Amino acid sequence: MTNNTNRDELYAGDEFYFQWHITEKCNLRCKHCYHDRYTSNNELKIDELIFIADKIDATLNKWDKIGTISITGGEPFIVKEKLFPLLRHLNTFESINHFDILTNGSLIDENTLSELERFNKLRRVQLSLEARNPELNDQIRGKGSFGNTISAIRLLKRNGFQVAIMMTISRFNKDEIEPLIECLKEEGVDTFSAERFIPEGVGTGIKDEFLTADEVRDVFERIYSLAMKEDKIRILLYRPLFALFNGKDPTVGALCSVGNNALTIMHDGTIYPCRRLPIPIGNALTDSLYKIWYTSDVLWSIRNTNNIKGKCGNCELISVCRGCRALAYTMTGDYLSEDPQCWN
Amino acid sequence: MLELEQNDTFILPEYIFLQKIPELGKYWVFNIDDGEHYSLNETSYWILEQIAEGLPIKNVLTNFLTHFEVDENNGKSDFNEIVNNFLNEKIIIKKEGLR
Repeated sequence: MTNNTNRDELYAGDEFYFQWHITEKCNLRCKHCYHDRYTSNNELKIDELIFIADKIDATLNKWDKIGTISITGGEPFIVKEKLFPLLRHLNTFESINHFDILTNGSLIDENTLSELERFNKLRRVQLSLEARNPELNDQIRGKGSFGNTISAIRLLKRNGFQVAIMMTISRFNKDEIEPLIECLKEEGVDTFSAERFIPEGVGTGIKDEFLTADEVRDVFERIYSLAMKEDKIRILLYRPLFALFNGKDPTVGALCSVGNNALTIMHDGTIYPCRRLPIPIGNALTDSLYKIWYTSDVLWSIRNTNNIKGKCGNCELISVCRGCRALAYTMTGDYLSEDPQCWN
Repeated sequence: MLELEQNDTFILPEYIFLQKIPELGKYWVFNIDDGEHYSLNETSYWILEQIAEGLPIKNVLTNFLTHFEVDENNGKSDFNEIVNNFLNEKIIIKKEGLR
């Protein structure tokens, strides 16, 4: 019998990631959004958020993992009265290396930044843009969104914050990658990452914008090519399928995080394996994170790579990629099926 | 090392959870209360599964010797050591009231 408290095959690497949606409320209605409502029923109170944060801290310490947390919503700055006390609390944990805030940026002002400046563990503020073309961006994210986001980027950069930009790629904006990255370089943005559009939640309304495997290959090739250039913006490739370009480079691609090194906490404490794989596997308020991580059938069935079907199951890169389980689930109803956008 | 009473029966507490992926040669036992977890070899896991079925320890031992085809002296010593480890780590507890 071997005690494997420090690390073993249950977790990849030294880090564990939480994506924490503290509210479902949002002031935007982006067409590709994975949320299906914005009512935020049973949203947790601040003392409940603190309780969960303490549970996260204890769990990370037990597992000897370095924690990273993304706090998001909905729009997290809608609930500032909870966001700031929570960040103050997280900022005290040795177990947490850093946290990021994922926001649409529309509610960020000087007062907000003076609060955020207190948190030395705040690494980046992540905003979203879908195109350099303002009209195209606003068709997805709403009128005025492009201008508001650029204003937020400038405000953040003037005040010394690191800014990340996320782009959700669909047929709608697949030709906007290069111009958008040029724009972001001009604005001094620190990192860029792209996520594939998954037609779930509100996003089912634009399911025809879902890319084919060949289109994704073209898009990912272009992003990979840009990422390989020395540049002042860092293009992050920590997503499944990028490993197809270079499976030996750990900075290119990432194993799907489900059952591996991440959990998502929703506004009411519900835990999903990933925000894009919305299958409840417990509640952070009432269940121990140990119980969820150790006993979830969903997580175990995905951890067993022999269960993964189709081309993903037969792929030599399964240990470093595994495809996107959420995408498989959305498109087929089976999270063990092959990634429908893999071109391999 | 505690000498096992042959008529004792042991159980897995509610906080203990077993998991295996035999085709990958992976066997674990988890404590969902305190987060502790252990990787096991196939033999240790097999013994835990037998205990989880509620068999008296003497029956588990008999099954163990038969299943793994080991001689009684060596096999009993190994078996006692494994079961004592489980007891020390509170992976199993004695079922009270049964003899």
